Amino acid sequence: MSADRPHSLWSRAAQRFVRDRAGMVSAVVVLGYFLVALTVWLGLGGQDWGVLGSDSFAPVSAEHWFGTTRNGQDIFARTVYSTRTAFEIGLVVAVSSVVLGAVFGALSGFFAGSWLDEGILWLKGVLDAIPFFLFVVAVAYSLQGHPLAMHVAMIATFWTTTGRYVRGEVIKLKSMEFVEAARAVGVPQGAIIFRHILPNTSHILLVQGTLVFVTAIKAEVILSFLGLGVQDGVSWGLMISQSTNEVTAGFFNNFIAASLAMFVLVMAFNFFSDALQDALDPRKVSA
Amino acid sequence: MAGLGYLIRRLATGIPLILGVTFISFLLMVYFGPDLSFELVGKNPTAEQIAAARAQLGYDQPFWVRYAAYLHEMVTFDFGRSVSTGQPVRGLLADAVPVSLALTLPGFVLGNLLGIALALLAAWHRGRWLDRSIMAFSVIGMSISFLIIIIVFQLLFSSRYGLNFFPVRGWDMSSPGAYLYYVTVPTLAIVFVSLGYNTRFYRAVFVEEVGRDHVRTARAFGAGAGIILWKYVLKNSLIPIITRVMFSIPSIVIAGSLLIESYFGIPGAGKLTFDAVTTGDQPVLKAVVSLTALMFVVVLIINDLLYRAVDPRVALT
Amino acid sequence: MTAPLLSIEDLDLRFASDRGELHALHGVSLTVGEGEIVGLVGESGCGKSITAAAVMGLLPMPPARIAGGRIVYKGQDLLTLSDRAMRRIRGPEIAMIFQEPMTALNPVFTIGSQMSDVLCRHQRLSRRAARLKAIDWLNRVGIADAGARIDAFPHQLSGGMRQRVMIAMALSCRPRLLIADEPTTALDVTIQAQVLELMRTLVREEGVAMLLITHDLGVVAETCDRVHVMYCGRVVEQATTRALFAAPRHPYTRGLLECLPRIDGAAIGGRLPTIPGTVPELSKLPPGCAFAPRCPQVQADCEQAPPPVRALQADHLAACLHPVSAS
Repeated sequence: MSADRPHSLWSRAAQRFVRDRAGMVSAVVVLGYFLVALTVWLGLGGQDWGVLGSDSFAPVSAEHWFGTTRNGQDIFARTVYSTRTAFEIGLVVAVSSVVLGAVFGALSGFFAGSWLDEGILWLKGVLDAIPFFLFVVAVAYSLQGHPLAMHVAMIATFWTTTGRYVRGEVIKLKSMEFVEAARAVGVPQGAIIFRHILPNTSHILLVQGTLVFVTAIKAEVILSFLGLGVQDGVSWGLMISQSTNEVTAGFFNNFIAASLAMFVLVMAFNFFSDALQDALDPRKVSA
Repeated sequence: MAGLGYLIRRLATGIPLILGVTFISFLLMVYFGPDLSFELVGKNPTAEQIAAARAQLGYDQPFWVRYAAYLHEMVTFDFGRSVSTGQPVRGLLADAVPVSLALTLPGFVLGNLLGIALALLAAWHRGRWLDRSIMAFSVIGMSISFLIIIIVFQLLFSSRYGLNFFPVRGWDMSSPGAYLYYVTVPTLAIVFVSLGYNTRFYRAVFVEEVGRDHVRTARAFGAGAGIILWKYVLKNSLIPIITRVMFSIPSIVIAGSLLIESYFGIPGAGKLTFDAVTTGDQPVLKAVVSLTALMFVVVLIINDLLYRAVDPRVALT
Repeated sequence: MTAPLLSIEDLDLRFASDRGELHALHGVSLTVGEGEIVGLVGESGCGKSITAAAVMGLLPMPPARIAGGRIVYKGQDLLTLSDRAMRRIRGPEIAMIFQEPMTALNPVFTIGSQMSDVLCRHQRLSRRAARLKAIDWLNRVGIADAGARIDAFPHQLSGGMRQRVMIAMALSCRPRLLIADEPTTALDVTIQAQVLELMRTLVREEGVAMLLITHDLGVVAETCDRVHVMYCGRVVEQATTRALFAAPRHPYTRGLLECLPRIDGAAIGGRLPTIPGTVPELSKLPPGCAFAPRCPQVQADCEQAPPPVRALQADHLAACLHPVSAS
């Protein structure tokens, strides 16, 4: 059961996913963005994002594909470089908070009803009770100047949802035969939790990861606008907050480039996440 | 009385939550927060002056003493005066909270009502083109950043590139006309940003409810879409709806809409909090955090009571 | 013979699914006469509940799609009716009782309010008159202290009581046809007999026709005038209850009958026989007779094409090329 279930689950999910047209298109779009981010990581593109030019608000041209900002910076380079920033934030926050949620959720679910579970539930309740932006503002501020302050704040709040789902699933799984069997042959508790049970929640972790990724990218924009986000480098959030001054003067290139780039990625990711959920759980009700 | 006993028990279970929220917030905002002693003293202060300032701010006390003092302030709900403005904290909150409520409530209500209506429509036509288009538009709406929506709406309604009718900044509630003048664009932005999320959430709830046996029974006895949706489905879905609405209340009152308030320059609770964090205005922060925690517990209790009111299967325990 | 009250003619129904279209009903035909009690028997998944849902117009479309056939009630094809017209059929013309009394009633309304809703809708009664009538019906289905019970919520009643409420609700509409989909399956064995007896009595008293859907031939024997046996989306045999039990002609029906424990002790001392093999999946039906892979007397021609329904005697039909002999 434990060996065969994940396999058939994944292969059936893959079949379903391939047949989902919106899911496939969005997956290709996300992959395209990822390749852009990769070229920046490899130093092949977007490296001139910070270079100040003499040409303020230059229109779209062969030299400046998307025009320039008030400071004469090339908007195309900034948009491209921001893709990397977005993936950095999205991946770091998604992976960390999902891992955190998986560990806490698994412990909480496996020891359901114990003091450990109570403690973790309490922590979740407390974190959920603090309004998100209040918390992020507080963390970002207490870690002043640290470039990862925003990441830490998001990870600390975003893991709770994953934790809740994993806890529920683990409670279901721990009474199943393969767990009983593992227990009967004397597999240590830690191994049961992390090697036998947790892998069976990977479909939840995958979906949660995509959701957190999107949330993180969107939160970055707002935090950067409030001055609590990306500290060095450039991001879509910084571009948009920079563009608020340009927009009132009638220069929209910066705003449109950053907004569109971000909108398309977030939308593709949303559709991708939906298709993934449909493929993994065909009985799920939300379309 | 069973009801009163229940209420007391429920309040008691809320205490660990209040302690947790206040402790974590206190740790972050006060203990790790910025040091204000240098703003109190003049230029080139002496060591004594600095020490006096630190004593005045309570920095020389150990952490636990400061936290205990904070808890005492919370119980009496007396947080003294704001460090940055010198005004009483209670007065500041009393000014800011109604503004935030007036600012966000219309958008919140409209966003939820519209979301519920669209979700009912989508759930009833599940799998057909109407459902698919409503859901596709929801995802598109969910993919647009709030900041982008605010900027675009300001351009459309408040700038010479669009209608140029509504104000770019400011707030005035002195008359209904003035209120409408200032609240319209923020409301539209709030509705737009929340509609996708609301519709998706409520559709998932309604689809599950529409699929239930009792809805099939109602249809088998000749009930039409109107009665089924507005009477049966809606009443049976009240618990998730109430939960969603109730748990949004603390954020609406306290955090307000930080983004809207700072973008439109509206003196609400969100802006008050944000400024307090960035200036390290501890009395204000303490008050805001306490209010949040208390409100959360109150919401939990009211939520429970409402469950009992709408679902006869939930017994008083 | 006069036209039957309900006649399903050659109903062909399909479901869209992940793995392509599933063919759920392959030309199902059945009739129910005025005041007649007709059984529709088969294993779960054979399409009997889908047939009932199709009559009521309760199938979700999509994914369901009616590819052919007619459902004629009192001379009009229900499949061509508007949603509005269909709503006037559901309740006052054809009423339905479901398998799960736990979930079929709305948990957040009292049973009185649910019954009154139905009465107000179809009989234009005032709220007060509807309530009195509801109490009256609750008395008739044997609910003690109906005046107080009417304000109970469904979860405060036992399963048997809830099913009685469903029966009261259905019959209070004064329908001409009652469709009962496994009405006693979810109940305790002792309650089953009572509820069945109640239904039979009330239906006879009111002169209502009933289509009783069940997997239990024992229930059919006690209740029905006539029986249709379904297998894999087809009606494979149709006869009067007496004829069917005396001499089943389709090997599947015979198999079902042999599985029944018998009072004369034929099977006592040994295990009850079962039909070997399993019901094939809808997506993997054999080209010929769907029962051929499990049939003890299968022959080569059975696997060529689905056998047509033939009249073996007056009023005894079977879809079998090599029916069991009548003796």
